[in-house]
Amino acid sequence: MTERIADKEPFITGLGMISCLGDSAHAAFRRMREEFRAASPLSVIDAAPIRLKCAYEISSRQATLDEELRATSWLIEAIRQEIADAKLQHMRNVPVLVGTGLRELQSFERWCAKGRRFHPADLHFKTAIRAAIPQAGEVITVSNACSAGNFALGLAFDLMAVENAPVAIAAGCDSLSASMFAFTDRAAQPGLRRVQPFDRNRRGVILGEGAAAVVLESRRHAAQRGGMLRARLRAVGMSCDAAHETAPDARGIAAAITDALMASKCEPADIDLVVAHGTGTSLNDPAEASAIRAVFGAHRPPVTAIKGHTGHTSGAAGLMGVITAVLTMEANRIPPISPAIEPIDEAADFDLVVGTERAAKTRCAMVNAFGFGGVNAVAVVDRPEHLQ
Amino acid sequence: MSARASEEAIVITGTGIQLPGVNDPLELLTAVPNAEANFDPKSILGRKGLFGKDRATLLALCAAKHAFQEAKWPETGIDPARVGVVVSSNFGNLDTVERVLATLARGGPPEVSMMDAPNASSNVIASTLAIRFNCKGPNYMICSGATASGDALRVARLTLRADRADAVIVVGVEPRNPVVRQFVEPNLAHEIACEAVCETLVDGAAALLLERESKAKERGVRALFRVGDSCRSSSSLVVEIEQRLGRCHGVLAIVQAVLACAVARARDDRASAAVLDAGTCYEREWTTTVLEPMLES
Repeated sequence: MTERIADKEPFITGLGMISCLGDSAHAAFRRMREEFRAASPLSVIDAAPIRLKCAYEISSRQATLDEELRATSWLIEAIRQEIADAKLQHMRNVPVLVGTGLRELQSFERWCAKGRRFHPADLHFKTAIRAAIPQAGEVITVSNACSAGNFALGLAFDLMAVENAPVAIAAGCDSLSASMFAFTDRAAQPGLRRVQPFDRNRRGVILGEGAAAVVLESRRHAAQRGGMLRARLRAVGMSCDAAHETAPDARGIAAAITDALMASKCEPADIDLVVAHGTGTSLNDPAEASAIRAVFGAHRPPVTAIKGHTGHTSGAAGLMGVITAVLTMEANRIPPISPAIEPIDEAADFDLVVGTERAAKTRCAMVNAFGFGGVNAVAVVDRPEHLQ
Repeated sequence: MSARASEEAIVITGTGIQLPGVNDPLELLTAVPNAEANFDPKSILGRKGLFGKDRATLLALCAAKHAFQEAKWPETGIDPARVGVVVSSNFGNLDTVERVLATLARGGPPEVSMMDAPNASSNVIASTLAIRFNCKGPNYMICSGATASGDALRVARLTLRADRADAVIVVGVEPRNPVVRQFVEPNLAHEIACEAVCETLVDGAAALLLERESKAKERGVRALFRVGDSCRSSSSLVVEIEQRLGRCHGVLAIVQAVLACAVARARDDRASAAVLDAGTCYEREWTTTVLEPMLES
């Protein structure tokens, strides 16, 4: 593979996040560190025919069956948050790359089932972003299943590297769709109440909802305006399994992890935190653990995963992982995966962060995201040098 | 990323269409395709591996196969990790979503066919292309509305110039089925009157194989066009192609590029610059991509 010279690495200067854990990135990070929660009763899709009666949905925001364009509204709010966080209100013409697994299919389903008004232009998010975010320039929606957020991040990275864009926004969002929920329901084992990544007692994945957004900015642009460098985006590695339409493939995952390490010029030993994809499904967790094992050799960095807290937020999941990594590096506190884990064989000797948060100096983190169709995107972030 | 890759020209080395009722891209200049024409994917792709594939995926696979063939793409000797996929489509899997929803209401999850699981994910077209043509590089599904086809060209060019791949297959596809027609066509009819040319939707796919110029030269294939810059634009030239095909959405810029290549070839390779537009009035969004003719060397 050709080596990529990472001489224009962008910095993360703003964060925004809406999830079932709260209306900000900091609120979510605090709750991930301090408490565990099971999924809440399902209310946003018609639960009558569905056996799995819970989800990590956003219910504090009058999550009724009547609320419209929910994913869109969180996306807009997450982008506004990050723009305020980075103090970029004066900017114009900022490219926005949106990753989503399910687009506004929730609204499409309500159009199908109940004849609700829903315009095809609202299926993606450009129209809404154009109306609500004056800072936005071009808007591109990438629908890359459960790794869409990290692909949006990679696209933003490439845009800055190739075209010298000074600022770009990467965002991800998703709300529950009944059609996708039906398939997770089919695969769920009885008694599923929470996502239990890497646990031999795991019973399946539960979908979550929310949005996450980060501002990427060149060092020069941030320096000129006094923007705070929260973290550096070293690389986003990508691969496609080209193997199976829905099942993950450890070789494809390993290829994305290897690509991320090569592009960031990191050795496995440089990575001192892995934020795993960790969906708690029978297939993902062994495949992901095997891939980490294959690439990392004997190195065993701490591994955490956030889906026990947020549910699987699909297109937002990768960027929620990136935000968690940034806040972990700032706080030197790693949030735990779950209260207790009886690890699967493939992760038996992993340094899984379990039970309580862990105090650990964290300089460089890898964030995994894998999606249906074998689309894999792995981000590497580290602290800016002056904070190393 | 090497400095060389970021500045390297990106060229079109293969084109393909799968528009039922259209046999040759040049027909797009004159004929109105037969909207009811069937196509037989088995005759193009063989029987194997087509079971359960939705129409959008089948159309895309066929168009991509034509583009690979035209580009004289070799069966072996290519590193799959250096071949990417970028697909633009907005309505590809809506029929599956609608069907699963109806089944769910009728009988609950046990009634839902697991055969539909891949098609429930909006990126099924891009991942199926990757499996079929063994493309293990970056894989993007672009669902960005009326500009999706222009965005796909931009993403593919960016992916090549970021040195993530040596070749990218770009496919635009939209299926016209009852669900999509019901969802989209009433909005076309009520669209604000600008150049509102048609009230139906395209049914078909168009594909381009893009390569880094140096790699195309190494393979000894000729290219007619370089893919130039893209930009947001506020309005568009009248897009005559839509008067024949129907509203093209995710297919528009790609099918225009296929036509530009066909016209250049028909004129003994004397290509003039072409401008690809993607967008619609109701979204008030347009992108413009420039195709620059290759100079004779």
